[in-house]
Formats: sequence, structure tokens, C-alpha cells
Amino acid sequence: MDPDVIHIRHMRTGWFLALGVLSACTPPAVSSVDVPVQAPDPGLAVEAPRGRLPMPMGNPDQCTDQDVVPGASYPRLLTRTEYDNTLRDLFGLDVAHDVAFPPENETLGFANGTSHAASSLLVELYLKASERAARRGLGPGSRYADHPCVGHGDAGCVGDFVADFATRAFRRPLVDEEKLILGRVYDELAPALGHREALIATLEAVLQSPQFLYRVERGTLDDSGAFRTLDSYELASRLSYFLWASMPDDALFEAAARDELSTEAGLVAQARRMLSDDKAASALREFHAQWLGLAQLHVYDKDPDVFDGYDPSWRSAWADSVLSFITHETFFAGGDFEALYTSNAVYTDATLAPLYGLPESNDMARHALPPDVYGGGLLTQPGLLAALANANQTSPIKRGVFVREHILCEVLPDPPADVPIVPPDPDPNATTRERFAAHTAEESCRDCHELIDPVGFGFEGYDALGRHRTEENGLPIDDSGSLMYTWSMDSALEGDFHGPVELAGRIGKSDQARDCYATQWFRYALGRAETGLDVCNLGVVRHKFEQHENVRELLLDIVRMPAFRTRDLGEVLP
Amino acid sequence: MSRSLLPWGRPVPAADRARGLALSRRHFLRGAAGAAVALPWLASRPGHAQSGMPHRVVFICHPNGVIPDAWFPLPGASETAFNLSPVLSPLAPYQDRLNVFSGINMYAVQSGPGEPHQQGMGGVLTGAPLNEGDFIGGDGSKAGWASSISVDQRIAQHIGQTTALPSLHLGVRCLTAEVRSRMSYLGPDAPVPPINDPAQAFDIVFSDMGTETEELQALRTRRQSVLDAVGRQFKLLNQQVSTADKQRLEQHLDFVRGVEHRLAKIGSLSGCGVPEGPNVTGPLEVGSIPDVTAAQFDIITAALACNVTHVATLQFMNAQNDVPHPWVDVTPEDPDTFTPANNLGHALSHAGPSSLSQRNELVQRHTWLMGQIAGFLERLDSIPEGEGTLLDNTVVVLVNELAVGNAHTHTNMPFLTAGGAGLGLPTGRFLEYENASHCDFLVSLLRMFDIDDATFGDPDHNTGPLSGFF
Repeated sequence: MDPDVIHIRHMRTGWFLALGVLSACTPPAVSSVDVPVQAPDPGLAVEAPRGRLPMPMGNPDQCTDQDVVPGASYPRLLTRTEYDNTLRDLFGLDVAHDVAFPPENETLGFANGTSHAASSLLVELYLKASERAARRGLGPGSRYADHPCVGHGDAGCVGDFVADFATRAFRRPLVDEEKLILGRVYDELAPALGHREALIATLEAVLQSPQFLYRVERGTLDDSGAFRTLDSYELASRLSYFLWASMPDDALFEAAARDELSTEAGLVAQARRMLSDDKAASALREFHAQWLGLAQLHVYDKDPDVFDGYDPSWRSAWADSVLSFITHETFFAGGDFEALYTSNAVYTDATLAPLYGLPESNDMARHALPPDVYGGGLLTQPGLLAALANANQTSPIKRGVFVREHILCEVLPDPPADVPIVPPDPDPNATTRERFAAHTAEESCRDCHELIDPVGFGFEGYDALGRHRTEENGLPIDDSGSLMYTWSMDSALEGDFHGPVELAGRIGKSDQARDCYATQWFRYALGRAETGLDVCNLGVVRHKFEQHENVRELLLDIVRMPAFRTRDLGEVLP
Repeated sequence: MSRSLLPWGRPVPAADRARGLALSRRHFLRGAAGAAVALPWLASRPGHAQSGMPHRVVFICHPNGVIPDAWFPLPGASETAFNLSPVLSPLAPYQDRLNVFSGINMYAVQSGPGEPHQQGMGGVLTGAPLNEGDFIGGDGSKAGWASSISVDQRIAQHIGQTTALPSLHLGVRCLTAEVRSRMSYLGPDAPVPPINDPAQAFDIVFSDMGTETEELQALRTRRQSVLDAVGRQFKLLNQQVSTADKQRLEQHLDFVRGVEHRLAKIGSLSGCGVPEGPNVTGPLEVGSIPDVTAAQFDIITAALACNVTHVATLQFMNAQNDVPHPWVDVTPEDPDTFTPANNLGHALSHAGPSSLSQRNELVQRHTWLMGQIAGFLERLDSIPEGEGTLLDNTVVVLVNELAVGNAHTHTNMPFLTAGGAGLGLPTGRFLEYENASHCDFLVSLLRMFDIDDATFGDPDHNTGPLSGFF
């Protein structure tokens, strides 16, 4: 095994031995820590600073412009959201193909990673979706509806039209072979089907081409021979799918055509422009929905026998409420990261307002609620607390696991083999806390659950709908919690607390949560896990984030990473 | 014929069969006690392979385990004389077409990463442990996808090229896209997603079949031209990428070829009426589960009958789902202890042996499901084919990712088969094994399709077909 991996493991084990925690339960790991590490430069390979997530290894202060460590690149298949957004921007029209694609296979909790792959079902549905989209995309309201070549056929005109369309769809200039391949569809079909139908069929071929469905990055070999640099068009797509979850717009294409994206200044100028576009807000929602696992809301209903009047429409309203909170309280409010954990705003619409005793409004409206109860930002969002609960009761375990894994980027250890996992039976004469506490008092479970339950118990002041409560079954709520044995051993983060507001206050100021947030964005942006080699990529991003604590600037810093504009050699490409 | 009787002699009205039986546990106990006195004697049926008839297979998985003493045949059973349990009682009309298995363990799934729900889902049809990965299970365990091809895909490789669809994969509210919601695999890390919306399934299976010949020919010409171009686009791109990337793209191109294959095959059907399209609103909502179940069984039946495919799977929800079944008419064991709040699938399956009301509810829920499966067998059996029916030429395999729900075990799996006499499978048997590996069960199924694969699944747990299977 690589010495650095061993080093990390020893540090971990040492910490836990020192704390006397280690037993049947191994200590929490930080995800991807076991990626083989090879220090890019011996001078950089210093021990990870204490109090920080230990990946990547090295000191970001020592990074220079010469420290380009590229990452792997692979053809990334458009997600459902990206596919729909791309069609919308391609045609300037929501073509509403009405074909429901299967959900993406997740990677590291995100939909846009390596696991998302084609299936026979998806490819069948691409056929159907492309037929509907191409037809509607040449109809009224489309960018192309009034194009002279759509109305009548003329060989030269058709060729130009198809080339123009495919250039935008493939997000780069066409090569001659592609013009021939696509032109042939029209030529084969026009005699029998007529001009317009043949044109529609040609667009169907474009929309089912891998050049449309995948983002392929080849780049060109750097003079050093150590990595490949993406060209301006490839960078335009990286930018647009990162910040907009969609294809580049005309201005970005023009910047690519002028090769303005090959400089950091040009790249960042475009990124700044894009961040002020509404499309950035919707992409931001996409990231957060995936990071927070809000899709869970759509899988689990609440129990109508327990929650009178439950309606499935609550699920999407909850997700919308959480995402409205994030976009408005952090992104549109200047980008302050700490607000994510300190804001007392809650957003409700007509569906949710009655649940929380708030005035009704048609759209999501902001309510400033008592800070001592709802001042924990994300951690006191009713929609999130509802997602992190069972159908009929809260779940201290889900809430505890969420804090450790999603917010703090820890990976909890596996339970010992052969332990029967039987949650406690409900009991009208006990609180959830009492039932779960008794449950995890069993020796075989206790070690691991000491990492989880004391965190989750601190959220017991909020029921399975995220409503504040002081009693359960007529018994008083105990909302004391404890967060211990964190990866960072940050004394300002760890310790006993009462309720999520207090916990969130500490999390918002902690290195570990801030590092984790940056790491999640990194994974989403590049579609891969961080490795020990990313000190001058993610390491630098975290370092800057610590200084400015601004989410908008964080996204710009990710764009500035050498890894954002390069890729590894892969295999030799012709 | 004894098919119209339950073991304790109560005739099953057709309507009850269709919607499932909702008997109280008291009924069951009384029935069971009566049955213990007078065991009905059901002759088993020898398998008689029919030549010239297509052979089909359907895998049905319902997750979260069972309550064994309410699932397996009642005590005192022999291979050919056994009383179906309360849960299996709706299958009584087809008892002489069933094989109920006991003593089969999923050893192979336990050697890899993951928790039992994950291991079971990824391993039940692959016979292999999971790969490492990032999916987080219900208890914090991590695992990836399955590590090898599943038995349905292995069969589809063998017989699927003669049909428009090599295989058809449907689901009932199987909503997530992770290891706990996938049982079918093309190969390592290549899960096959099910179609949850009957309208979408119908569209893929039948949409082009009702088209007039001329119109169909035009559509086929048009799509062929489009897909030819798509194929050329793939080839062009493949010249520019690395070997690993090429693999990813060629897998996609294979699926495009599959679409072309389907398009070429449609229209060559004869003597097969296209059924009416399903009309289920809100197909992903819990309340739609009964309608979606019925519609999916209709589609599978028609797809098999019309030879659109010979391999199908149906996944009833993802493992560890928390879906309530409010349409199941639960008669409480004891009204004083009945807690309606607990009727959530996974939580319910966790109930301890002392939780009688929850146990009762789960039994009745499983009984409802068996009623739906009985309805499916009835559909298959109503279609004459050769000397028998479609059911004789189809083997239906029912599996679960767990054995006992509240203990999360993989020991004594609740597996059964129905039909398949035309594939040479004797039926009407209760086959009791002692600690047999489920790889052997899968290998036996492969053997029915003349696939002699002694290395299927985990070689460490594969000792060849189960003795006495045929």
C-alpha cells in the first residue's frame, strides 16, 4: 500500500486509540481517503494540517502556476436536467418531450458522475424524446421556426441549417464527416418524406448522436507532455454545465470562437457573467438537491394516519422550500457561506404555510422566524427535517448520519457483521429518543451509534414534518445532543449542544463543514472524487474559501483550478 | 381438478383471486388447523418438454423478506403433499403448477461489501457478491453494484435474439437508482433499470405494432436512416477516444443496435392482438400500486404471448422501501393493540415476533401480493399454446432479497417457481433442501434453457444444478 495512505490510517487509528473509542467499530473515515496517493512534488508533501479534512495531502500555500495536476476525464452523459435544459436552450423553447427518463445512477451522491450510463431503456427513450423534440423544436416559438430553410428546401440552405444546428447541439464546430453523415439522412429521406419531415429526421439524428448526449473532452497535449489542455469549446461546456446545467449560450460560444477561454481571466470573466444569469440559480438548486439528497422526499410519503391531511404535493413543496432558502439566503444575498447555517429564514407557499402556521402565499415567500428555534439555517429547514425523518416518526439516525456524511464529509463505518438490525417498536408511552436510546444501548450497536445518535437526538425538537415541538406523547422533549469524535477533532465544533440551532452555529464556523462544502462542489463540477493529488486544485480552493467564505467566489475558484481546464493524458489520442 | 379449492376446501371466487384475499389471521389459523387434519393430496405433474414452443421466463422480486412460518408450507408436508401457507394460499388454484423451495441460502452474496438489503438485491439473480462502491445502505454500509451478469440477462443472451426485445424489465414504484433497486445486470456494474410507468412500458412494447403496414414501413425506413447516422456518429467518435471511453460508448451503441433490432422485428407478429393501452394516473404514487401491478402483469402477459420478448422481470418496489398498503383490508389481530401508524413496508418488516398486529398486517400484505401473482398465473394459463397454455411454456420465478425481514437473513430464502412444465420442469412439489446454495438454484434455471454454465455467479458457491430439481 502507498505510504501516504498508511500514514493517514495511522493518524486516524492513533487519534481514536488516544480517545479510547476504538473497539468493534472503526472510526469514521473521510470518503475517498484510500485513493492511492502520490505526492506531486516532494516539497509539497507535508502532513495535512490538523483540523482540516485531510485530503488532499500537501500545503496549498506552496502551489504555483506550474503545479498543474490534471484529473481523469471520461465522456459524461447528460443528466435528465441537463438534457432538458440543453433542449430548451438549443431551441429557445421548452419542447416538453414528455418522456420520463429513468433516474441517473448516483456517484458520490451526485447524478452527473461516472455511474450515470446508458441503458437499453434510456436509449429507447432517447429515440422517442428526440422525435418529439425535433418536431416541436421546428414549430412555433422556436429559435428556428422562422428560419428560411425550415420552410422550403434548397440543398445549400439545408446544409448550412443542419451545420448550424448541429454545431450548437454538439457545442463545437462540426467536422466534415459529421456534415456528410447528417446530410445523408436528409438526402435519403427527403424524396419520400418531403423537405420538412426529412429535416426533422436529421435533427433526430443530431439529438441521438453521442456528440450531443455526451460531453467528450480531448484537449491538446501540453508542451510539458504531462497533461492535456481543454480547448475553448470544451471549456465553454465545462463552464456551462457546471454553472448552468445546460449548453453554452451565444455569448459563450463567441468567446470560445475567439479563444478567450484559454486564459484564466477570460474564463473567469465568462463565469462571472454566467453567475448573474437566472440559469445559474436553477443549476445551484440542482447541486443542492443532489447534495442534500432531496430526491428522498419523492420516494417516501408521510403516513396520513399520523399526519392528518397529508398530501403528496407536500413533497415537492418541501424540496422547493429548501432550495428557495439556499438560493435566496446564500446565493442572491451575496453568497455568505455562514448564512447557510445561521439564517432564520423559511420559505413556504400555500401548500406548506398552514403546516407551520405561517401566512399563505401563492409562491414561495420568505418568513423570518424566531432565531432561537429556526435560526439554524439549513439544519432547521422544515423541508430538510421532513426529508430526514420516517413516514410516521422522526429518525435520529437519518439526521445524525446526514450531519456526519453530507455536512461533514465523514463516512461512517460498517456495522459489525451478523448483528440483527431491528429498530424499536413504537410505544405510545415513550419518546422517540427513549426508544432509540434503549435500542442502541446494546453493546454490539453502541460503538457506532455513539457517532450517530447523539447528533440526531439533538434534532428531537422537530417532528417528522419539521415542526418545532416541546412534547411527544405528552412527555417533554429532550433536545440535548452531542457531536464527538469528528475527523477534524475541532474543539470548537465538537461537544454537547441543545438543538440544531446551536449545532449549526458551530458547524457554520468550522473548517470541516466549510472544507466539506467545497469538496462537494468539486465532485459535482468534475464528476469525480478528489484524490491526494488535488492539493493545488481542491487544496487551494479550500484555502481561499477559508479566507473569503463566499459561495460565489468558491465557484469562481473552482473554475480557476488547473484541473478545471486540463485533463490527464488518458491514452494517447490521435 | 383440485385447482379451484384452497387447501381447506374454500372455493376462491374469481374476483377474490384478482384482488387478492384479505382473510383475517383467525381465518388462517382455523383453516390451517382444519387442514392439518385432512391434508389434501395433490399429485405432482411431470415436466414434458414441448418441442416447437418458445420457452419463457419471468422473474418477480418483492423485497424486505417474509415471515417464514406464514410463508413456507405448513409443517408435516412432503414433496408432493403439502398445504400452502396462509400467505401462499391465493396460489392454491395453481398448487400443482408450483414448486416451493426451502433450505436455499444466499451464501454467495454475503462475502462481499454491503448490508443485507444491498447484498440481497444485487446478488439474488447474479449469485455473486457486490462490488465495492459508494451506495450507503440503511445501516451505513457501503457497496457498489453487482459484480456479474444476472440470470435473466444470461438467458436473454441465449434466447433473446429471436424476439423484438431480448428482455423486458418492469417495476412497480421502484423509484431509486442504486443497488437496492436493481436485480438485473448486463454484467459487472451494469444494472438494467425497470420501467415503472405502464404507459411507458406499453409504448415501448406495443406502440409501433398497431400501426398499419404501410405507415409502419415508412416509420421503419425513417428511423433506420436516423439510427444509421447515429451509428456512424458513434464510429466517428470512437476513433477519437481512449479504450475505456470507447467501451462506454460501444455499450451505448449496442443499445442503439437493440432499438434497430426491435424495429426490424415488429410487424412480423402474427395471431397476436395488441392489448389496450393502460390508463393509470400517477403511476408512481403509492395509491396507484394495485392498478400499476395489474397493468404491468397485463403487459408482461401480452409481451410473452405475442413473442415480443421471452424474458421479463418485475420488481415490486426497491428493497427497504417504506411504502404503506392502505388498499389491503387488514383485519386486526387484536383491535386494542392495532397501530395503524406502523403500516410502512420496511418498518413493518422489522417488527419482532411479539408484535402480533404488525406481523398480521405483513402477512396480509404478502397475501395480497400473492393474490396479484395468482392473477398473473391465471392470465398466463388462460392463453392456450400447443398442448397446454402459456403458463406451461413459461417459468415464473418468485424471489426476495431477504429471507426473514426483521432479522435480515439470507438463510432459507422464500423462493418459488410456477409453470414451466413445457420446459421439462416437474411441478406441484415442495422441494426441501438442506443449506443449498442459491447459485445452484440459478444454475438449475439456466439448465432449463439449455445453458450449461457451471461457473455462473460465485464459483465458490456453485456446485451445479440442485439435485431433484428436474
